[in-house]
Amino acid sequence: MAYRVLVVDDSPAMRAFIRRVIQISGFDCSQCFEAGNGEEALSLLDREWVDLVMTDINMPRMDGEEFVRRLESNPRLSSLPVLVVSTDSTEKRIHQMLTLGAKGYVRKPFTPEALREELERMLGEVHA
Amino acid sequence: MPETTIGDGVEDLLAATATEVLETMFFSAVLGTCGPEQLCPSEQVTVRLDFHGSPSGAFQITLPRLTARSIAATFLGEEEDDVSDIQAESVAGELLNMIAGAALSKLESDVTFRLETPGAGEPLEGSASSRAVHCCLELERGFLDIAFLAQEPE
Repeated sequence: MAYRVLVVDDSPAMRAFIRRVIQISGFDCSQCFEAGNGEEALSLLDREWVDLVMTDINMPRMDGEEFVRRLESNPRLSSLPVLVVSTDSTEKRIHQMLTLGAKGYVRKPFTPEALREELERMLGEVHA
Repeated sequence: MPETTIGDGVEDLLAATATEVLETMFFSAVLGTCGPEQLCPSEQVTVRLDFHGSPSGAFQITLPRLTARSIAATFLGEEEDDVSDIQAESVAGELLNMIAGAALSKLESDVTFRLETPGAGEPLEGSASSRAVHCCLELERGFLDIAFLAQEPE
């Protein structure tokens, strides 16, 4: 099954890197959408359906925390699995994001294999 | 603002963190540490990132423009000649962001920091630069100098 993924990060370079890593890892991705912050992502999710969202935390306009809160409070989007991809690997931050509703957390730096494993774990849970 | 002593071994931690980031995300081998290198400012890229928390402070990286271009090419999966200066600086910002985030998580694992967007900003100069902890890594294509300055809360 090929998946549709949304990558939310304020850095165009990081978004390009994640797209490339998804390709390198062999993860079955049919379409990869991009957004520069939570606000742009919500706007895109009004028009497009995706199977999974990968989001950074530290972003302008609407950060990852608020973005995950908004997804959780939206009945249409609350079941969408969210993977947080962040440089912040403190237990406090990981716990906070998982409590808010994120289903996975990958810290930067990450290997393509680690990213793929986490994506497949999350999507496996969704489709189990 | 007085500087804080955030702990011993910061230089080693910076070196280990930057090495992990470079090798994992930038596919760039680190050959070892080196002394501070001197370059003409026009030939180098300097990016600074301020962070806020307890403590607050700043990270800064400096690297030759050619090194920044080489790192950007591997990060973006493009040919070096196709990488613009803006892309090279943007990727250097990402590199700094990852080093800073990972280093702060290791230095103060119970504190949540807010990281500013990396940018050209005002470089750590003069006394601030000399008080900062520096770590210089030798790469296959040049070097990377990392500076870290933490300050006591006001």
